[in-house]
Amino acid sequence: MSVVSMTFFIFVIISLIVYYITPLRFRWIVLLGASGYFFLKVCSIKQLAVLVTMCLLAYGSAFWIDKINNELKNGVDSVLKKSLESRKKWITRIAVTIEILILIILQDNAFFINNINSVGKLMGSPIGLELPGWAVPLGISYFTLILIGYILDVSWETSKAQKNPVKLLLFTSFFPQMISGPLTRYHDMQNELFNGHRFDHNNIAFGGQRFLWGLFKKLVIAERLSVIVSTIYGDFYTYNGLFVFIGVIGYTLQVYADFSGYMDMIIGVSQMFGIKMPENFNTPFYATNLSEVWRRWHMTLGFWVKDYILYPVLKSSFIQKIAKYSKKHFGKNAGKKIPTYIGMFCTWFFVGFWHGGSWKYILGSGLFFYIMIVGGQILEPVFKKFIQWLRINTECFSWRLFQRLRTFFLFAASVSFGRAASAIQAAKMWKNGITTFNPLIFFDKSLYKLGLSQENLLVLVFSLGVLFVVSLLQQTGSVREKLSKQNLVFRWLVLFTLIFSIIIFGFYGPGYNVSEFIYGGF
Amino acid sequence: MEIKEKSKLKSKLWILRFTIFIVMFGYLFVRVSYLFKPVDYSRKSISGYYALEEEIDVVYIGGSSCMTYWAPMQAWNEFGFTSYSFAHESATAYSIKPSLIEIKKTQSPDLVVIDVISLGRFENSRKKYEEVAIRKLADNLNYSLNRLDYINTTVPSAMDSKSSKNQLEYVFDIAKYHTRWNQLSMNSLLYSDNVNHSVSKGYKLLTKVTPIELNDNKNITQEKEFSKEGKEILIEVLEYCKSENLNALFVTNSHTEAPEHRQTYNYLSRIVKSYGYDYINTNDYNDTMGLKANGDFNDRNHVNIFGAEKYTSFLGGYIKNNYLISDKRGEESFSSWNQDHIKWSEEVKKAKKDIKTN
Repeated sequence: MSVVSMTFFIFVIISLIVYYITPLRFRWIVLLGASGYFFLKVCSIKQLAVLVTMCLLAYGSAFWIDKINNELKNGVDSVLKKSLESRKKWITRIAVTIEILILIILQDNAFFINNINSVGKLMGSPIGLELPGWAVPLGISYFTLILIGYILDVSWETSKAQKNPVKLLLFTSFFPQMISGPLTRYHDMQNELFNGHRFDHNNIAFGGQRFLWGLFKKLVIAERLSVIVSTIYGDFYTYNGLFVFIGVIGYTLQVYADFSGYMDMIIGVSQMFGIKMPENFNTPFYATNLSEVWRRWHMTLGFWVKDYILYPVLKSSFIQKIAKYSKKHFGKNAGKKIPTYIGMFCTWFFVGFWHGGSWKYILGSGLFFYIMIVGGQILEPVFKKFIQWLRINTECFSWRLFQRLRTFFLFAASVSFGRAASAIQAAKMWKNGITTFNPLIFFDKSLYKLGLSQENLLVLVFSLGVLFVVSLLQQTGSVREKLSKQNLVFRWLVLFTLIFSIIIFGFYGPGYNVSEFIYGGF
Repeated sequence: MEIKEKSKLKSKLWILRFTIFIVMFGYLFVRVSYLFKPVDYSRKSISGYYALEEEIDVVYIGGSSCMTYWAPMQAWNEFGFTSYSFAHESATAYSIKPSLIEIKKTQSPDLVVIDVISLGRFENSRKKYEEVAIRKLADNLNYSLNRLDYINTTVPSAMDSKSSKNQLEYVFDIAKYHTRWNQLSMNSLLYSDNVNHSVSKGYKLLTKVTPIELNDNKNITQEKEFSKEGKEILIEVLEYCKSENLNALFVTNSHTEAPEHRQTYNYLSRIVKSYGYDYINTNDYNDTMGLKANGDFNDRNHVNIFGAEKYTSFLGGYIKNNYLISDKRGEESFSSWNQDHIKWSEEVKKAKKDIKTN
C-alpha cells in the first residue's frame, strides 16, 4: 500500500472514523490496529516479527534499566551503587549494540560483503562472498533509531520506561511515521499517542490541507523532476556539460519535494488524528551555510545524531583524554576544537552510512559535509580577511543571496552522489559536467528532449514557482494559519485549485509508476 | 453556558461548511472526470442516449455489430418508430445486463433488441478480460451503482497481463485520463456532463468496401453448449428481462459466421425461446436482405453504409410486423427527429461519395 494510493486514502478515512467513534481511552488501540494493518500491507509476517523482536528487546532492556534507576533513586550504598550503574551501562550497551547489529546485518550487509570481496580481489585472493538477499522490513532504519533513542533516554533518565509492551509497539510502528520518519522521541510522543484526542475540526482541516500540499509536492513536482533526472543520470555521456548541472539541481529539488512532501503528508495525517509530529523541514534552501542546512533539513535526524552520537562521543572518557592532551600540547583552542572535530567525524560518518551502506552515501551524504563544515571553520579567519580586503558588505540582501546560492550548490553537489550508481559514477558524471561548456542547450530546445514535453516542463516551472512562493510566505509564519484568516470563497478557491492541480497534473495512475519515496529506501 | 453554545454552533457551522465543500468537490470531480475522457464512438453513442428527450420505442444494445448495423434514422424514416443504438466498441457478454439496466433508467422502450454476438464468441474471446473492452462501457456510463457493479464484476476477472486489476482506477477513471489535460478542446467541453445530442442516434457510419465470405450455415442444427460462465450470463440476462417485463428480441447479425459459432447460436436460440423470447439469426436472411458479400461489408464483422441500409430495412420490417409499435411520423413532439433525419441523410450522401474500395 503506497502512501500516494487511493487505497491509503480510504484506509486513512476509515481509520479516522473508527478512531473518533471509539471511546477516548481506547483510541490508542485503534492506532495500533491501523499500524499493524498498514505494516502487513507493505511488509510480510516475517518482517513484522523482526519489528516485534526489536521492540521487545528495547522494552525488556528499558524495563530492566528503569528498575535499576528506581533502585538507585531509593538510595543504596556506594558498592551496590557502583555495581548497579555498571550493570545499567552494560545492559544499555548490549541492547543498543544488538539493535544496531540487527539493522546492519539485515540492511547493510552488502556494504561489508562488497568491501571484503573488493579487498580480497585487490590482494589477489578473491573471496566471493554472496549477498544473502534478505527481505528487509520497511522503515527499519527509522524504527531502529527510534528504539535506540528510547533505550538511551530511559538509561539517561529523560524518560520512564513504558510498562505496556503493546504501547511501545505502537510508538515504534505508528503507521504515518513508519516508512520515512520523522524520528520521534518517546517522551514527546507518549501523550500524543496514548491519551486519545477529541475531535477538533481544525485538526481535520489543517491536517488535510497539509496532506494535500505534500501530495502536490510529490506527484506534481518530484515525480516530474524524476523524469528529467533519470534521463540525465542515465546517460551523462550524452547529457554532459550544463545538462549535468541541471540533473544535479533537479535531483536536489526532487529529493526536497519528495521527502518534504512525504513529511507534509505524514504530519498532515497525524494531525487529523490530533497527533502532533515533530517538523522535519524548515525551508532548508534559505540556509546560508551547510551547518544551517542540517538544522533545517531532516531536522529530526540532525537532533538525533547530536543527542545520541555527538554528545555521548564528546563526553566519552576517550575523547576527554584527547581534549586534555590537545589542550596541553596545542593550546586551549585546539583542546576544544580537536575533540569536536573527532566527534563530528563520527557523527557525519554515521549519517552517511545510515543513508545507505555504501561509499557513495558515506562520502556524499556524510563526509562531504564534514569536510565542508570543518574546513569552513578552520578557514574562517582566512575568509574573514578576504571579505574585509574586498570590502564586501555582509549585512545586505545580496550577500545573503550569495550565501544561500553557494550553500544550495554545495548541498546539491553532495546530494548528487546519492543518485549515481556509485561514487565512481558520480565522479565521472561531474567530470563530464565540468569539462564541457554547452550553454546553447537553453536555446536550441534540447531541454524538451529530457523526457518531458514542453507543456509538462511549463507545469514543472510553474509548480516550482508556487513552491518558492509558499516557502517565502513560510518565512513569516504558517501559511495555513494565514489562509484560515481569509474569506471563505478565497480559501475554497485555493483548496479546489490545489486539489484539482494534483488530480490533473499529478504523475499517477495507469502508465505511471509512482516511485517510492526516496527516503523510504534509506 | 454561552461558551458551550457558541462552541456547539461553531461545530454545526463547520459540519455544514464541510458538507457543502464535499458536495461541491463531488460535483466538480464528476464534471472534471467527464471532461477528460476521450470522445470516441462509444462515448458519442452512450452520451447521446442520455441526451434523449423523446420516448424511444426500440433500444438496440450491443457492440460494434449493433452500432454499425442498425441505422435508427433510417428506421424512423421507413417505419416511423424511434430507436437508439446503445452500443459500445469491443463489447463483451458482461456488458449486456448493465446496458439493459442503464437504458431503463431514462426510457421504457416497447422493445429491446439484444445483439448476442458477444455471447456466441464468449468462450473463445480474450476480449472479456481486456481493459479496453471493460473501459469502453465503464468509462462512458454515468457514475452510478450500475457502473460500480459492472466494474466489480469484470475487473477482478481481468486476466490480460496489461489490464490493471485495480478497480479503483476504473471507478475513478480520471486516474487514467487526467494526462489528457493538454489534449482538451472545445469538443471535450461539449461532453463535460456526459450528455450530448447524437444526430445518428448511436449509429456509426462505416465507408470501406471489403469483400468477405458469407457462409450458409442454415443446415447446421447441432448445438454447442456454453461454458458454465457463459450460460450464467445468458440466464441472468433472460431473468432480468423477465423480471422487468421487458419485451426482448435477441439477434445475431450477418457476418462471416464460423460453423462452430452457429452451433453456439443454436444452443442460445433454444434457451432464449424457452423463456418466451424471440431469436433471429440474420445470416439466414442475407439473400432476403439482398446483402452482398462483395460490396456491403466494411470488414468480416461489420457492414458499411450500404449493408446497414439493407440490414435496417430488413430488421425494421421484422420488428414492425412482429411487435406492436406505433408510427409516430407526423407527430409534433417528434419533429426534431425529422430535422435530425435531414442532417443524417446529408451525412450519408457525403459518406457514399467517399466510399473506399479495398
